[in-house]
Amino acid sequence: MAAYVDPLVVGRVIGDVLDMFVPTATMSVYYGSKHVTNGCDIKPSMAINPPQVAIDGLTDQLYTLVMTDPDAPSPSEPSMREWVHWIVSDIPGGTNPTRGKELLAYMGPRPPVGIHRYILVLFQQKGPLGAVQQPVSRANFSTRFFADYLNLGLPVATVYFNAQKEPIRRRR
Amino acid sequence: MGIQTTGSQGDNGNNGKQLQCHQLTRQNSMYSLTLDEVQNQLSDLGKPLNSMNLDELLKSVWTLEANQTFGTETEGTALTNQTSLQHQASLSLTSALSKKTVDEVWKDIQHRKIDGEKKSRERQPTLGEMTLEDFLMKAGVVTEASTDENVGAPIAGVNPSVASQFAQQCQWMQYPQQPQYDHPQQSMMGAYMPVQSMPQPLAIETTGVIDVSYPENQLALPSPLLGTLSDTQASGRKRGTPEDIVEKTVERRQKRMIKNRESAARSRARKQAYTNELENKVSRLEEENERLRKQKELDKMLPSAPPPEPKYQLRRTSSAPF
Repeated sequence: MAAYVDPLVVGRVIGDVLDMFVPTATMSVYYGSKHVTNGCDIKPSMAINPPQVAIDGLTDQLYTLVMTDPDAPSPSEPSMREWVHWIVSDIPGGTNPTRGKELLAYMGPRPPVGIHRYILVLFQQKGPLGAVQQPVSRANFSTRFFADYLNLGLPVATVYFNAQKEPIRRRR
Repeated sequence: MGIQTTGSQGDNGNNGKQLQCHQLTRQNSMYSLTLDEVQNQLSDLGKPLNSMNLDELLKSVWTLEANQTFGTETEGTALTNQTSLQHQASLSLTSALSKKTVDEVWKDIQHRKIDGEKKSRERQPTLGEMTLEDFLMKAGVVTEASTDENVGAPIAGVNPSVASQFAQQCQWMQYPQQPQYDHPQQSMMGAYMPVQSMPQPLAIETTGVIDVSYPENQLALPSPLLGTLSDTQASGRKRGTPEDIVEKTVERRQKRMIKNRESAARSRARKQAYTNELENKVSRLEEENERLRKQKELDKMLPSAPPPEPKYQLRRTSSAPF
């Protein structure tokens, strides 16, 4: 099982954002036709709209999905770590985020400097969340703190991708 | 990773040894790698990283480095110097520290961290992703817990004491870094910085002296140190001098080097993570492929005819004759 988490450790996702966990659900993320695997590269232009996320967890369970960027504004000086891009809760298992409650609207990756990691974390809820206080600002978010605050426990699935600013095509 | 021939390579006196140390850290192949990467390289040593004693860990790291440099070595003298240095270094590790396993030291480090420095976020909380250098530095810090408060110590007094610290800490380098250290302090600092982050942790035990002002965060590493030294000089001199300017450039260079190193480490981590993921994916797919093939074979082998449809049985043949 550890082999399946290795990319997360090596890529420092576990460490910078999450604590060590054992995945118990699977989640497949697609931006259009591009399947997101750990550490793959996604162009921001492909990620303007929310991805399709298929969650295979237990059908009677509710899940929360968080998308966050720990390398904001730049990986060498992440003074705004983390920048939260998307929060959806109350997603029924076996479905996708459109069936859940979007607590924070999706914002696509817009890395100004460097190569950023964008991490999608799935938590299994212990029950319906009720009223959740929306984060005041997207900056300096803490996934750990958020999970604690909502008593979400450790993640059940995670995937991350890399994105960097696309070079502007010079029109001559 | 060959020996750099700046300065007199043939001079095996103080300069020679010092060059060795520079080269050891400039080569830096092992020390700036994360512990995970080190573990990968050490994988054929048969023992998991965590349960190794620090002693064994360091020895195996050096063996690896020696092997690496040996491959590119052209001068035998340099190599023998290096190995002799390594022996000296291992001798200077106190028994206390070396007997501890990596795991225990790691736990200590975590305790230290909780005891409160709100330093920067550069700290990597997971063992594997720390660089070897950071780990050793923190290991050194751990055993010198009580002296951590001395950061704010009177600066005027730092100069001579820091100088002596250097002398002591560099036992394994052994050479009178001190004289070199006193004079061209600023330029020495430039040369010093990369060196001291390595020998420090190794020699720290024997000296009983701190690496206080050498915070774990590599980014901050040069500035406070330079700060203390430049302060000692600035306290006697209130106007900007050429030395100050030189020192600033040196400081900038150090910062850039460290930033670069971190960026390189991130890049390596990125590449490694992606590779891991692909390898996992491949092995998963291969397994599934195997499974499906076997399934197909099994299906072909069993001539299972579909059960006869009941509606063709006009006569009761399969029920009991009541």
